[in-house]
Amino acid sequence: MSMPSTGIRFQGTCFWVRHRHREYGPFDYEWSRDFAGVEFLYQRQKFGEYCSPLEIDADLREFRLPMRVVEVGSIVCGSLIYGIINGLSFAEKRDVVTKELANRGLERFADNIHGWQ
Amino acid sequence: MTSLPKISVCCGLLLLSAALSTSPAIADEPSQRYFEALRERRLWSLAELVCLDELKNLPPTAPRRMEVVLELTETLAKHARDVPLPAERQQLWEQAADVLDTELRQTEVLSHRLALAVQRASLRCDERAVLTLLAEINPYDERQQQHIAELTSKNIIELNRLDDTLAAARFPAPPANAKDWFDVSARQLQRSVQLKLAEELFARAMSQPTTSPDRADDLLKAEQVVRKVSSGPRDALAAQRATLLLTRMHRLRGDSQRAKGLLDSIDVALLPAELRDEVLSEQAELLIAQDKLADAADLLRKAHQVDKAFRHSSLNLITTLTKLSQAARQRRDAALADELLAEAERSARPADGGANYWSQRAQQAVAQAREDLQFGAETAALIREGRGRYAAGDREQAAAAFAQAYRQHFEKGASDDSFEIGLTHARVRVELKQFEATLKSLDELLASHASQAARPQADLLRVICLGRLYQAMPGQAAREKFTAALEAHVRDFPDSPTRADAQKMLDQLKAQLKPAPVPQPK
Repeated sequence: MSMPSTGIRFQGTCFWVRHRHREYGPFDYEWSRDFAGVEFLYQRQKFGEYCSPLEIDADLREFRLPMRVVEVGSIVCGSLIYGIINGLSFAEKRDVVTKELANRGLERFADNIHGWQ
Repeated sequence: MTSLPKISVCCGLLLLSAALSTSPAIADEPSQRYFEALRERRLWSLAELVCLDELKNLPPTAPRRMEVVLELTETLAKHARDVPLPAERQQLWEQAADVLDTELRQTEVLSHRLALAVQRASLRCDERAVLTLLAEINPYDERQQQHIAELTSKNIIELNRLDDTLAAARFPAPPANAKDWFDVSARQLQRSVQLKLAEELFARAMSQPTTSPDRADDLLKAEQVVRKVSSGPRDALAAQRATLLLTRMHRLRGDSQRAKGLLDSIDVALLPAELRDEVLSEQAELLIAQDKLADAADLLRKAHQVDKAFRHSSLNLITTLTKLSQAARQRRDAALADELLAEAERSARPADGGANYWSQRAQQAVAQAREDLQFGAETAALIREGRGRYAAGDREQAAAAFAQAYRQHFEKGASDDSFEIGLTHARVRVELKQFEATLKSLDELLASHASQAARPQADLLRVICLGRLYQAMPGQAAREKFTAALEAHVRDFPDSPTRADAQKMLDQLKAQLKPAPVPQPK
């Protein structure tokens, strides 16, 4: 069976966004030095940070990614951090990711999630 | 599952009942029908644009201007009922208020000023009615309740003032240059004001405890006012609405016979669909008040086989079915209880898939019945309180409610449910940055629940708390505790998805602790 043209693949704490048959990633995160916040990484380079629900910052411009990838990557990063900080299970994190993607009309990415049981 | 407390934003169409009754006293009928048709088709923007365009060319004193202003503001008010976002709704109400205020500043014609003032007051009543309905979704939002209470009291003051003004203008003699208008329209306007006043008094009474003397006082005043309207011409819509309100008052007082007599006197054939549905709801409420739950369910079932639209009476059907299910369970007839609950669940899904305010409330009622069954009514009520207070932004009270729900449920023994409630409590405490207290709760939770599948999530949350405490007060003891907890998580939950998160934290902590390389002399 051929790979779908869109989707998300998870592996450990990283994930890749598949868009038009091409994978972009890895997106990942790292705890800030004081373990109070989280830094967002793209290909191991910091592109944003989370300090609190009111202080989230992300800028992927320098990577010149397609807009869809930026949207999906940001939504998934935000959902994952929400899940980690609130101690959500895999199933609950997946629900958050699916719901947030669907809210923005990006269900087709949520339909093809790989690497999560 | 007691997932992290959240309340879904009311999405879809609201389509709330009890339409704004503007009764433009000086309306041109074809024009009125045209705008009514646009509103029925929910062509809000088109109706608003047509009005705004026409207003540009009408001088301030033109009688037609008044009609257009009333149509525009009625459209904006109904449009506000139809949007899901509170900010958008507020903006539409403000726009309608601005239009009326501007007109009031521009016109000196007494009849116009009175019609505008009544419309302004009606708009505020409409706002109160919408907010009251929305507040039923989350009764724990105290700030919103307070806002509604203030708005209701302001409305009552304003409507009393308008009632006096209209009475003074009509009696003993209206101004000579406006005699025709006063003969017909001032009377209509006054009836509309009185009906609104009775509705506001009734709403304020309903928001108070049943034993409150203020409630009894408001009900008495509401009855006095509504009687003036219900005794008017029987075919007038206001009279029918007043009779319906009077029926509710008699039912609440326990006088079912008089309530039924009044309800039977309403000629439903002449009423618009939404008001007809309110009459049906009241018929069911009356049967419920007489403990005839099965009759109420039959009445509502039959009605819904004919009219598939999801309205207030659809919610009544769902709540009646859940009550019947509860009663069957108390009689130990589990099969019937399950069947009724399943029927409630099926009926809570709108036939055409179009979700609205009433379908959202119906689904909430079914979810509540399921929670009552899962946790027991008392614990379920505490969980709902926690969820409601969380949604209203009151984290402290939410945490207290979840803590109480946990204690109460845990008394019945450790289970997946008690673990989930305990974990939800801990999540709220983490948001409050109460790491020490959360740590204690999580230690107790993990110690008393040895085999729950969600243990890794609770343990990771515990590790995060230790990390935050170490960050707040760095020291060897805190660091060792944090490191040990991370190592234990990685060791104890090798197959859990949380392991990767803990491992990442552990690696970073170790990297931070490595001594910085000593610079080599050049």
